[in-house]
Amino acid sequence: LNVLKVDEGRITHVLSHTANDENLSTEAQSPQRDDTEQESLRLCDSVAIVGRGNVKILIAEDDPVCRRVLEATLVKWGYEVLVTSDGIEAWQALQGENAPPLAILDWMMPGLDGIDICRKVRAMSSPTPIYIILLTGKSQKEDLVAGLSR
Amino acid sequence: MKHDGSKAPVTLVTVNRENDDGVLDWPTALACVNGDVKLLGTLVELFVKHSPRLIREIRDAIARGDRLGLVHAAYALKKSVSNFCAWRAFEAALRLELIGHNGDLYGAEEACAALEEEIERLRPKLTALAGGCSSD
Repeated sequence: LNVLKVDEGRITHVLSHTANDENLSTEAQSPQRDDTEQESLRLCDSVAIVGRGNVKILIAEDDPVCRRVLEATLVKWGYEVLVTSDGIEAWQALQGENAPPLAILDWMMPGLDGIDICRKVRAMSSPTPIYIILLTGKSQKEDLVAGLSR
Repeated sequence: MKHDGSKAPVTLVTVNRENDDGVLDWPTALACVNGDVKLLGTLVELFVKHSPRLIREIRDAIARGDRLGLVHAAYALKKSVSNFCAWRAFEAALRLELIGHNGDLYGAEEACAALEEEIERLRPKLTALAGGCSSD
């Protein structure tokens, strides 16, 4: 699970939570000034690794403007994009047989929040992990912990 | 669709809030979409089409005393306008979102009026800029 902290459209924090069946590790970075580029590259590195081959990415975003930005960016980067506009639709897509391995979810959405979907995905038995990126402007430590612990 | 595994391009944009009037910062907004004028024009169209609904949702939520509804609609509008670096509207929407979080909706109507004013200021500027770009 990656939690992105985005302020005014700029990534300021990336929290990575790498999980397998036996081992959980949490890595948090709070970049210093000018480290935004490094953080952005780290994020894009991880997306690029996942992106080798045929990769579908689910996006769940209720705002049409932000949804279009996300979709256009990912398509430009060469990904197949599955677009949903609320949490319920996103959750349905993630339960399907060909569920996307990566989901970019807005934290706050009608129906089901991104954070609710995180909890459901964690509880779901799946042969392959689903990676989740949460988009949020929330800035408190407890918000980040909430994102990582669901 | 196949991805070649190469790193995705990264564009870092520095927001300069001194060079705009706070209504919008078109050059920065354009830089945020890698100079894709067509995409930015589409975003403007979407904003012009959907922002009245969000304003209505905000008004209705205030009238109903629906805090969560207010937070959702104000948050959505805040995200929308951030794509145009429209900071005055952003801050007006943020104020409403915080009012929704805080409880009794005190000051919500005034904050809503201020937001509507900012959106009314923003919309024609966006439309003019987007129209100017498409005719280039």
